[in-house]
Amino acid sequence: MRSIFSGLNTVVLAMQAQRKAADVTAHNIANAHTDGFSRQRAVMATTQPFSYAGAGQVGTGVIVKEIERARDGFLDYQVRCEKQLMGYWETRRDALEQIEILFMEPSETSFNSVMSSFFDAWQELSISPESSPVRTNLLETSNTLMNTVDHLNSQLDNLKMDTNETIRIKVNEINNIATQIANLNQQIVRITNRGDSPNDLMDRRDLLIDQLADIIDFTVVSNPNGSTNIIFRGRDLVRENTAYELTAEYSNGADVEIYWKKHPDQPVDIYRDESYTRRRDSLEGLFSVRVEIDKIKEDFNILVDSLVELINEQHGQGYDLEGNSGDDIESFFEWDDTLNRWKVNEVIINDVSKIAAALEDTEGNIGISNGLNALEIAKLRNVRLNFDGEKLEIPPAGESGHTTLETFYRDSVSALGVKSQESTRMVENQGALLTQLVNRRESLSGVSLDEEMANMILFLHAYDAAARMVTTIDSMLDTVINRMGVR
Amino acid sequence: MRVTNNMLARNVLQNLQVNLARMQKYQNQLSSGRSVSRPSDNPLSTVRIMGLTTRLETGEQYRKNIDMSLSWLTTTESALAGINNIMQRVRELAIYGASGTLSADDRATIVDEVKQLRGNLMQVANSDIEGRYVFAGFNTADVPFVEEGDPVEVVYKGDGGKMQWEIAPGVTMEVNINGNNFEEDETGDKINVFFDALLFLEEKLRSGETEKLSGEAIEKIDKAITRVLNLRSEVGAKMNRLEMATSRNFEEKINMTGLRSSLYDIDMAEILINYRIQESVYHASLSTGARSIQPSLVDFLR
Repeated sequence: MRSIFSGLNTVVLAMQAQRKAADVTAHNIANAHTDGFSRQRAVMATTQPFSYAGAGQVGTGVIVKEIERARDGFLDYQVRCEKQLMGYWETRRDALEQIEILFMEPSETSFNSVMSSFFDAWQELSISPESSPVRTNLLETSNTLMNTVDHLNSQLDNLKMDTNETIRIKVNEINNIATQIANLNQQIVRITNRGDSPNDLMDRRDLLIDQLADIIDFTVVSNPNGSTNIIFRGRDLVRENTAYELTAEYSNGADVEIYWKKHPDQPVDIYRDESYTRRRDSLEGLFSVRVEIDKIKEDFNILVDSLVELINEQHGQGYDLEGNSGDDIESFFEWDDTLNRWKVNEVIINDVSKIAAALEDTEGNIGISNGLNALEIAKLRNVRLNFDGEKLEIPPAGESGHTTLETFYRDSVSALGVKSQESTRMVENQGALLTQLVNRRESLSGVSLDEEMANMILFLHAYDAAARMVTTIDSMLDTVINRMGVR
Repeated sequence: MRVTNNMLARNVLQNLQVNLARMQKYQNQLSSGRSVSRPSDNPLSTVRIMGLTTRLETGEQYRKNIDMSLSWLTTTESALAGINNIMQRVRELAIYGASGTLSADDRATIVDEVKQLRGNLMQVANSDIEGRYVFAGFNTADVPFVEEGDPVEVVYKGDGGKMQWEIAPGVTMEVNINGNNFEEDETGDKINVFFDALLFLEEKLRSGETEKLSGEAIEKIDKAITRVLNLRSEVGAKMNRLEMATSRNFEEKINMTGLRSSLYDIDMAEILINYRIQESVYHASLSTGARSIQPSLVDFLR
């Protein structure tokens, strides 16, 4: 037979358990808006029951067995996968948008229009080759053309430099997060070994892993001791309580490459090959942006170099206003080694009469109103050219090329537009998907204030009832102690 | 599905963002008047707009070229008309002077008038437009026809340059008539048919060779008149071609401007309506957001 006091013990356990549960509720409410927090629940269980001989078992009360957090590892995995893809497309979208803004197409001040004005100025010169204002106008238009080229090139260079710098910043972030995860691993293992569940620390670690997913693609491995390893590009980024840091260095002075600090000899494998089907991440997005910038710059300079070559070639055939020809004709555009750009030949800048507008006709006339060479140059805009992958050339006689200078440029603008459009669309799609998943995770792990309030009342009433039980037992004890026995 | 307060708040915020982004898009279109502001808005349209813009700008240059050609040819034409008038008068004088009844004095007056006409012819043949001599070939800066020597001879200082001006894509036109077009091969010598006829007439009037006047002189004058008529019809044909090119240029401009506008410009009414719709959606999401975020069980517990 149990002692009458054992009932009191049950009640005390009940009050303790309900209070603990109320504490958990309070913690939940306090962290209703904390990033990465997952709601916790006090899991109550009965204590070891007491067996009455012949009468079966009577319970001995309640105990909070554990405080568990509502979290689904698979949802975490899904969210992270989509975050990584989102990072890839967002990075691309942002950079491609910037490039689009640089080119300012379509508008009246874009390169397309400047190039058009340039050819129109030659056309104008073919009509009035002897007019000095017309020659000066051509000079100014040519200057504008080359300034625009230089401006675009330097803007693209800046963008690439920014991209390289961003890669360095991202690497610092990765290192930072990896170190924090390693530290958390250490603390979590210690607490887990004690037999407790470090819910809040695990939340913080999950949040960090989420943040890491914004930057890179990785694999998470959970260890039985509670720690997690993070594997990045085939190597451990975090193992137990150690973080293996990355470093970003400018290789051959041009571009940033990423290395493991412990293996500085070979760059971290960043998949730049589009055909490689794998999950993509923001870091890879940055590398792909770098490739895009290079490609656009290359295409653009193929165009400009070909233009310069075609103009210079034709210009060299002509006669200037004084009737000079051959070696006396300077090339129209010249490469400026110090500024690293094309510009109009200094000789022509100083004396516009050096522009070779005339071309010897069948009778050998090269008078001052001969604008035949200017006309030939103006016609270059419509010449169908061959593209051999390195430059645009006039096809051999009798053959017709596939592209003109202007369509070549338009094609590359169009390709840029398509890529940018693709990334914008992917960001939208990815965003919708991510919202779905985050909502599902929030649905499981998020704190509902209504629910917490309801729980609070539940615990409050249970606590009240237990307290009332104390009074009851007290009066029972009063009966036994004060009113029974010998007077 | 379990719904939490955070979810509600986040959804409201997200929807507001989406709505605002759409409003911004319409607002951009309304304030710029352009439906395409970046290649990614519509890559295909962008390329077409760029092409059309170039064509329009080039078309403008061709229009200038056509105008320039037209004024060049108009000057040429009126000069040729002047030459024609002079030659007609010269022909009358030649017929008059061939009459055997005239005295030497009478012939001297005719010579005076022919000399006068030669001066006129010189002036007309040296016509210029903005300082460029129209009959000088490429040598437009130098006076093309100059009198030299004694007996007087008219020398052509220009060259055989033919100005090729582009009036439409790939269409060039030879706009000028140079001094060589006035010349004719005569026993290996290049001879200016107009001045040659006048100088010959003058000489024969002075010497009183009436049979030469009625025969060879009239023949030379008629040849010159035929030449000027041929040149005039050539110029007339070119001017016709230019008129046609002008109207084609203009039509093309209208067509392309329309086409570009349909790709590039917004439909004001449509965008305005879309904007209004978006605005009311935004307002609706604001007010529902305000309502759904506010209450919780706390509000109903005592």
